[in-house]
Amino acid sequence: MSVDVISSQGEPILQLKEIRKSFDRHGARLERSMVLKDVECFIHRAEVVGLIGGSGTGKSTLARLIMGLERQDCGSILFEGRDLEQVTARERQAMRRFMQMVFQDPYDSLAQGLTVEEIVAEPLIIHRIHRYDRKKRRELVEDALAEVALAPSSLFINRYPHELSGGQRQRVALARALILRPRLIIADEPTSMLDVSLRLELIDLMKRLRERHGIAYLYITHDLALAHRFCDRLLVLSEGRIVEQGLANEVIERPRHPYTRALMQAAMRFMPAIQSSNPVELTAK
Amino acid sequence: MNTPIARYLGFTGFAILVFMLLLAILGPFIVPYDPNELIAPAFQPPSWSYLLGTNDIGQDIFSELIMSARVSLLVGVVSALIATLFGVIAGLVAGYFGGWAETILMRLVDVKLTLPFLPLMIVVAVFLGPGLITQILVIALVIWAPMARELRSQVLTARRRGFVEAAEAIGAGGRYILRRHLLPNVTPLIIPQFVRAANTGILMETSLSFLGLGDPTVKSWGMMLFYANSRSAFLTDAWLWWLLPPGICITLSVLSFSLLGYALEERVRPRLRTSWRFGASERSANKVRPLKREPQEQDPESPEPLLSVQQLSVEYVTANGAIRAVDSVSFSVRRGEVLGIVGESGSGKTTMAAALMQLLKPPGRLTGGRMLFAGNDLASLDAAELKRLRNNRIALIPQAAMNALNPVYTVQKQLVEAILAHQKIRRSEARIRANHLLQLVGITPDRARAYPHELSGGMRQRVVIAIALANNPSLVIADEPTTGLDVIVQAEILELLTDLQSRLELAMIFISHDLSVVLSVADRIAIMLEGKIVDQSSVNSGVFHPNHPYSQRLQAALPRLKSKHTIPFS
Repeated sequence: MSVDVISSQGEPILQLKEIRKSFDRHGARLERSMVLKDVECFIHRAEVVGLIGGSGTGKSTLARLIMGLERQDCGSILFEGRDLEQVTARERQAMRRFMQMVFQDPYDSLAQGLTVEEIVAEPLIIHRIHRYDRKKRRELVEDALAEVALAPSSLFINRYPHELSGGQRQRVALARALILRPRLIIADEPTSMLDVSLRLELIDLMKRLRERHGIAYLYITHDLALAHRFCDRLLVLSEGRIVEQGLANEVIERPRHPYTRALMQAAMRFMPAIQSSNPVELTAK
Repeated sequence: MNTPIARYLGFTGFAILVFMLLLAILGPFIVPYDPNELIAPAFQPPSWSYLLGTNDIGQDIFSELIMSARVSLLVGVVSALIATLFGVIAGLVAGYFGGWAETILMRLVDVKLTLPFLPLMIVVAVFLGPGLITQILVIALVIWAPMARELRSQVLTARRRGFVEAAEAIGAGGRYILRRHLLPNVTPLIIPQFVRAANTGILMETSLSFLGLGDPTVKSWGMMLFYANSRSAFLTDAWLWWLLPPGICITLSVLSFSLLGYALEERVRPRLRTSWRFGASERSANKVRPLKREPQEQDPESPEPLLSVQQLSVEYVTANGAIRAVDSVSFSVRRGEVLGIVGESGSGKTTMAAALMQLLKPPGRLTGGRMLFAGNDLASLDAAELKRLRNNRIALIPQAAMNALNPVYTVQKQLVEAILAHQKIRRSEARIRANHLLQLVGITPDRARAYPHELSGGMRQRVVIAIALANNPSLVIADEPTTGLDVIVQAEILELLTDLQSRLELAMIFISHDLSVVLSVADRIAIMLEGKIVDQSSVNSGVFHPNHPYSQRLQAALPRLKSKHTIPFS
C-alpha cells in the first residue's frame, strides 16, 4: 500500500484535538509543568504514524492519554469519529477493544506469575469474549502466537515470561495486543529495551501485521532510522508541541524545523558504517 | 529460597507449631481426666498419676493445660484471620482506588496506630463484656491496622507496574485488576503478616484473659494464669507446676510463630538475606595467582600494550551454584587506542569492567586470569596501591553516570576533591585546575558553582567525564556512558569523548550494547556473547569485518537512514 493512497482515505481512525496536559510538580499545585501543549494530530486506517522526539518531550504521556491511563486537562480524543469522553463507560469499554497498546518494557508489562497462554488470553477475559469456552480461547491464543512468529505455539503456551528472551517477551506482548483484532495499536518505544539485533525483527513483524490486517499504528520512538523504515508519516514532538509533520521520507530528507535537524544530526552521528557502505542512499541534506 | 540459618529457624518454628496444634487437636483424646472435674485433693505435687499436679480445688493441671491450648491457639489464629482479611481489603482498596476511600481508611489506621493498644483493648473489652467472640473481635480490631498500611504501600508500587497498566489499557476494570493482578502480587506478603498477627493474637489473648476479660466458661492459658494468680498459687509451691507450664506453652507458641514469620519474611524480602551470606569480606578470594611486581612506567613508545587481559574469568556464586559471567576473556589495549566492547544485556560487559577496576562485589568473584596494566597485575595490588591507581592511572565513567554526583556539593567542589585525592597541590591551584577541566568538557566557568540538580543530564555527564579526567589517567573505561541520555545529547557527549580521547591521547575501553555507537568511536572492536569474546576486528572509518555469525547478525541489524525508494509526488 503506497503512502499517498493511505493519506487520502476518508475519516481518520484516531484524531486528537487541542490536547493539553500538565502535571503537578512536586505536589505543588501552583507550579504545574505543561507536558503537552495543544497537540493536534490524526491517524488514518492502516496508516503507520511515527511520533518522534527526545526524552521528556511528552511522547509517552500522549500514548497514556489515548489509552485512558491518564486524563487530558482539555481537548478531545476521537476514535473512529467518537469522542472517548462523550460516550458511556460501557461504550468506551467496547471501543477500547479496537485500540491496544504495546509497552516499552517487556520485562515489566507481562505479569510474572502467569503463563503465556494466560497473558495472551487476558484481553479475551477482560472483554468477556468466549467467556465459557476455554478451548476457543486457546485456539485464538495459538493463532495470535502464530501471527507473531512464536511457533509452534505448543512450545510457548505453557511457559512463564522469565523463561523467554526480551524479544520473545515483546512478541508475546504484541500477541496480547493482537488477539482482539484491534484497528489501532499504540506502540510506545517497543524496541528500545530490546537488543539491537532484535529491533529490526520486531519492526518487520509489525509491518507484516499491518499489511495482513490493516492495523494502524502510532509508533513512538526516538530512533529515526527505525521510524523511517516503518512509518508512513512522522510527527516530531518537541517540548510538548508538534513542531513538524509530514510524510516520513520528506521529513527525513528535508527536515525543516531546527529540532528535527538536530535529531537527524544526532542520528547521523552513529551511522558512519552506512555512510561508507551505502554512500548513495544517504540522502539527508 | 532461604539462607541455611533462616531455613533452620523456620523449620524449628514449624515443628513447635505442629506439635502445639497436634496437642490442641488431639487434646480430648489424650487428656487423662476431665479438666473441669474435681478428681483429687488440692495442691497435689506432680506425680505419675497427676503429671503436673492439681490446683486449689483439685483439678488435674495437665489436662487443663492441654485443653487450654485449643482456646489459646483458636483465638490467636481466628483473630489473625479476621485481622488479615480486614487489613488486606483495606490495604487493597485504599491502595488501588485512592480518593476518599483511601483518606478515610488511612486516617482510621493512623488513629488506631496512635492509640496505645492495651488500654484501648481493655476499654473495648470491658464495654462489650467478656466472651470468646468479643475477645476475638477486640484482638482483630487492634492488629489489622499495621497490615493495612503495609499492604497499601505495596499496592501503590504494584499498581504502577507495567502489567497492571497493560491490563488497564486493555480495558480491565478495578475489580478485575485487584483480583487478578494486585492480590497475587501481595499474597507473598500476606502470609508472613498473618503469621505475625497470629503471634500477636496469642499474646493479646493471654493479656486479656490474665486481666480477667476472658470468657469465664472456657479455659485458655491466659485464664489459667489468671486463676492461678487470683487463687493464691504464689502462696504455696504450687506456682511451680501451676504457673510455669502455661507460661512455657505461651512462650513456645509465640516463639514458633516468630521463627516461622522470620523465615517467611526473609523469603519475600531478599534484602534480609544479603547481610547473612555476603557479610564476610571476599577480597582475599579475589587475589588469584599473585605475580611478582615489576617496577612500573614503561617507555610510552614501547610496543607493549598498556593493558593486557589474559584468560580473565569471573563467576557469580548463587544458590544454584556458580554462574560464569566472564569466561576466559583475553584482549589488550594500546596507548591512545579505543577498544569498543559490544554485547547485549547480560553478556558480561559490565562485570568485566568491574573486574578491571577491582570493583567486583560479592557474590561476584574473580576466578582466573591476569590483568596486566603497564606491567602490574591488577589483582595482586593491595588496597592502598589500588586507591592510587584508580582514577589516577585508570578512570571509570560509570553506567548511569548522571546519578554518580553528590547532590549537596557544587560540581567544582566535587572536582577539587577528586584532584586533591591524588595530587598534593594547594586548594586554590586545584580550583584553577577544576575550572580548566570544566572548560575542557565544555562547561563555562560561571556554571562551576552549580549544584548537580541545576544541570541537565548532558551537563552532569560532562562533569562526570571531567572528574574521570581529573588526574590525567592513561586508560579510561567508559561503561555505557551515553545510555539513558536524550539522542541529541548522546551525540554531543560522544563527540566530546572522541575529541578528548584524541587530544589527550587516552587509551579507552568503550563498552556499549549499541554497535552503531561503538563503531563511531572505536579503533578496534570486540564482540561479547555470553561472557566470551567471540569476535575481534579492527574498525576502519566505521566499518568492521565480522567473522562470527553473531557479529554478522549484529551488523546486519545496524540502523539505516536511507530513503526506501523515491515516491513520485505531484
